[in-house]
Amino acid sequence: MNNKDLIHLIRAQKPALPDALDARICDRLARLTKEEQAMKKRVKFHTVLIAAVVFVLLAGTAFALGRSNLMEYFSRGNLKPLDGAEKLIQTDFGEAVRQEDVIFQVEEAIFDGKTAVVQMLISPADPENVFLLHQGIQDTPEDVYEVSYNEDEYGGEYRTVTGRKDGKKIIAYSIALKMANENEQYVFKSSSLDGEELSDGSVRVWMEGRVISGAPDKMDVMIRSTYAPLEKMNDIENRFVFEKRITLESGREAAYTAFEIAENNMDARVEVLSAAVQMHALRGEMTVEYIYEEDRKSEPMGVTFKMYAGDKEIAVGGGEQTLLEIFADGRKRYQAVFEIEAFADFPEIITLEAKVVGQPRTLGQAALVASKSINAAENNVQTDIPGLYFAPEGSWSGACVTLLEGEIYSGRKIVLSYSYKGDRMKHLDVRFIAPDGTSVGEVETQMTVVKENGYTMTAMLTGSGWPTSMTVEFVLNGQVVDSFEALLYPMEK
Amino acid sequence: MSTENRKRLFVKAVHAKKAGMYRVALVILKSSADAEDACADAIEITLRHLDSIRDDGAINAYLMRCTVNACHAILKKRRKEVPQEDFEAILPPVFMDSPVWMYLSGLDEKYSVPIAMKFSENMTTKEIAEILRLTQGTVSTRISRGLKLLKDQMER
Repeated sequence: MNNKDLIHLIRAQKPALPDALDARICDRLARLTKEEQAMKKRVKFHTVLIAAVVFVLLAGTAFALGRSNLMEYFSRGNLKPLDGAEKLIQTDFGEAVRQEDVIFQVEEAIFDGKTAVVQMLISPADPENVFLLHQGIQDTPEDVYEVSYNEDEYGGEYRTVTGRKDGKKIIAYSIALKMANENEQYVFKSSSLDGEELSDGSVRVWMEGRVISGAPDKMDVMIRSTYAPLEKMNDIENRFVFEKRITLESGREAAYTAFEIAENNMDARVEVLSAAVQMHALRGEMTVEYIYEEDRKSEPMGVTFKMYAGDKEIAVGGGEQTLLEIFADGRKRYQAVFEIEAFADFPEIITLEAKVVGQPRTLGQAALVASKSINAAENNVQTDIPGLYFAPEGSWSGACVTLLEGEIYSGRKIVLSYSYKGDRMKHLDVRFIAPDGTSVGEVETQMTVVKENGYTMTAMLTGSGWPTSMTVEFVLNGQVVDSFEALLYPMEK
Repeated sequence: MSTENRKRLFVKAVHAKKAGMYRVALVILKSSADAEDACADAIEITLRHLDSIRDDGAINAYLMRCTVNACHAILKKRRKEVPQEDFEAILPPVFMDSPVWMYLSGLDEKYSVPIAMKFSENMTTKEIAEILRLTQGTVSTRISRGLKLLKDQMER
C-alpha cells in the first residue's frame, strides 16, 4: 500500500459525527447562560450573545445581520461611537462602476482621525448566472460547491473548490483598503474585513483600518479588488483589478490622557510601566506598556488586560501586543494596544486588571489616575502636529526626517515617531541634547515600518528631570543630518 | 472587529470545525462520550474568551487548540481515576466502521493528531504547527513517520 492509498482510506473512513454532539454543545452553552443570568456578572448584551449562539447552533444556520449603513455596522458592536459621530459619514463617492462581470459601488465611509471604515457594495452584473466568492471563505460545503482533491507533496491530496452545483459561474475576488501613497506623513493599515451576502447576490463589505502613526486630518486611501473567474484566479496576467482612490476627512480633535499608577496590587510577575488613552469619535485606543515574567507552561498565551471605571467594565475590542525588549533575566517588556469604546469624557480614575489569556485566572489589579488630559485646541497649543506633547518650536520639517508624533508617558518617557526618507539600510541615531550641550537620558530606537525608500521609527527617551527645552538630533554615520529645538509641554494647568 | 461580527465568525467557525474537533478528540481519547465532552469544553472556553482573541482568523485555530487541551485535561482526570490500560480494556469499540482510524488511534498521539488534522481536516502544515506549538518541519516529519508506522501496523 502506498501513501496515496493510505491517505485515501483515512479520508474515506472518517468517523461519522454522533447525533448527540450538537445536543451536548447546546446543553453546555445553555448552562452557561443560566450561570451568567444567576450571577449577573455580565451586561445583558453578553447573555444575549450566548443565548443567540445556542439558537443558531440549534438552527444550523449562520447569522444574517441586516446592516443598511455605517452606523448600523458600529451600533451592533460593543464599542459604541460618540453621539454625533454620524456627522463624519461621507457619501459622495461617485456612481457605481461596472468592470467585466462585477459592479463596484463605494456607498459610505467614515474617518475620525484614527479609525476608517469604508462600506462598499459588490454585485454580479448577471446574478442569475454569476456568483461572487471571496477568496478567504473557508466554509464551502460539498452540497453547494463542486470540489476536487489533488495530490500534494506527501503523495496525499488537498481540496480545492472547482465550481457550484447550481451551475453558476464563480467569480473569485479579494478586496482590501490600503494607503493610497506610501510616502505620506502617516501610516495607515487595514485591520479587518467583514461582509454580508444579500439576497440579490450582491455582497456588502466593510473594510476597516487604523492609522498607526501620524495624526492626519485628511487621508487618501485606495480600495483595491482583484477578481477573476475561479479557474483563472491564480493567473496573475489575466486577473482583473478594480482600484478607487478616495479622500477621507476627519473633523474632530483627539483627546489624550496619560495615566499614573496610584495603587499597584498586581502579581509580582506583571509590572505596568505606563498607560495612556487616545480618544476619537468612533473608538478610543488604550496603550499599556508592561513588563511580564512569562510562565509558558501555565500561561501559554500570555496576559491581556481588562479595564474598569468603578464597577463598570470598559468595553474593549481588538488589539495587538508588541514585544519591545527581552531582559537578561528573561522578563519581557510589551506594548499592548487595545481599541476601547468612545467616551465624551474619559474617566480620570480607572482600574487595570491583568488576566491570563484563555483562562479565567487574573493576576491582580492596579488603580490608575489621569496625570494629564490635553485637548490641543482647548489649551491653545500651537502646533502643526495635533496632540503633540513634545514639540518643535513652531513648525518643523527636516531635510530627510519628518516628525510624526511625540508623546510623554507618565512623566517617565518621551516617545517620538518619525519617518526617514533615505536608504532604508542606514540606521538613524537620535540624541536629546540639553541647553548645556550634554546628552539627556537613554534613548532606544525601533523601526516600525520599512518602506521602499526609507522607514518610520520610534525613539524612546527614558529617565526624568528633563530640561524644558532640548535639541533633538538625528545622526547618521556620526553626522547630524537633521535637528530641531523642542519644548517640553504641557505646562501645569 | 465588533462583537456581533465576531459572534457571527465564531458560529461559522463552530459549524465548520466541530466535525474536525470531534475526530481529533476521538483519536486522542478513544471514547465517543469523552470526545463530545472535549468538544463542548473547547467551545465553551473559546466563547468565554472570544474578546481576547485578537485575530479573527485565529478563531478556528483557537477552537482546535482548546480541543487538544481539553483532551489532555480529560486524560489527566482519567489517569487519576482508572489506570490507562484498564480503561482501554473496557472502552467500547468506536471505530467499528473505520478500521484505518482504529489503527491511527493506536499510534502515539504525536503522530495520530497531525495525521488526522492534515488528511481528515485538510489543514495545512503551518496551521497544524501553530495549533500544536511545533515547527513546520517537525509537523512534516511526524506526519511522514506516522504514515510509515500506520502502514507497518496495517500490513502486519
